[in-house]
Amino acid sequence: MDLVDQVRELTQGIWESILGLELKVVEAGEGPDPDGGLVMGTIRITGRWEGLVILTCAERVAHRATSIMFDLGPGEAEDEHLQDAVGELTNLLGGTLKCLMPGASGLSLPTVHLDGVDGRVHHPEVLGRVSFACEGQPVVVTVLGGA
Amino acid sequence: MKKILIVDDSKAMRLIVRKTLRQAGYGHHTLDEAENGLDALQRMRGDWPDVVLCDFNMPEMSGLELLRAIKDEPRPIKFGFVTTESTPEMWQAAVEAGAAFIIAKPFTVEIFQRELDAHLG
Repeated sequence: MDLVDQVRELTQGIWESILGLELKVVEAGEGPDPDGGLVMGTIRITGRWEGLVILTCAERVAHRATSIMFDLGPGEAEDEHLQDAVGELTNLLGGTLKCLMPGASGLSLPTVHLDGVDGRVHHPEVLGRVSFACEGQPVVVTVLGGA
Repeated sequence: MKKILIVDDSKAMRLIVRKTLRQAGYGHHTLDEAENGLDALQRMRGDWPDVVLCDFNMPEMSGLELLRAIKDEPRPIKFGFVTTESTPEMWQAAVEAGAAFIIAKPFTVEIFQRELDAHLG
């Protein structure tokens, strides 16, 4: 199984087990446009292999995930809840992907950008990217090497 | 009835662990929470738990640092990790430090029952 397949399987597994939501794979560039902004979570993998895992999702997905994880009603999630929920989803992705990378030994704490922009990502090599739709909204997982 | 301490810097994950413990049939035990190893250590000094479910990577004090900090404590405890960290090196370090169980995230109710029945059942 190549990296893209592994990313797909792991992300769908996390979405199903933690959120109880389905993630449908979509072709890159053909996925839905987000209603509103984007939220980005990043986590660094370190060791003899170094890389970055980025979870980008529509604001609506972030709010939905947060409501599920915190057992909140619609519109009740505040920024600190969003930071926590998206951070934990990013942590789950990074941790499970780390096990697939030979030589990877460390995992940073996740960083969440509610405005969807991480200016510190400086175009390292894209090793794999999978685009999904969650309840009609975009979710993208990107694995970068050499970050 | 046992005292269970849940240690994780994510409040969302602490809620998920709580919910999973209830679904696994352990809801009648007393549950407490800490947001990192240092917070947990302070709570434990005031109210010693029977079982600890601890994340690995946390700010202030990691789960492994917490476990090592209590290694000379004579009071009995079942300390385990609930973590995304599942490399062989991590598992070896955890076991050598005295971890009683390691549960990989994401987990299921059945996994909780399998790993925790011996300590909570």
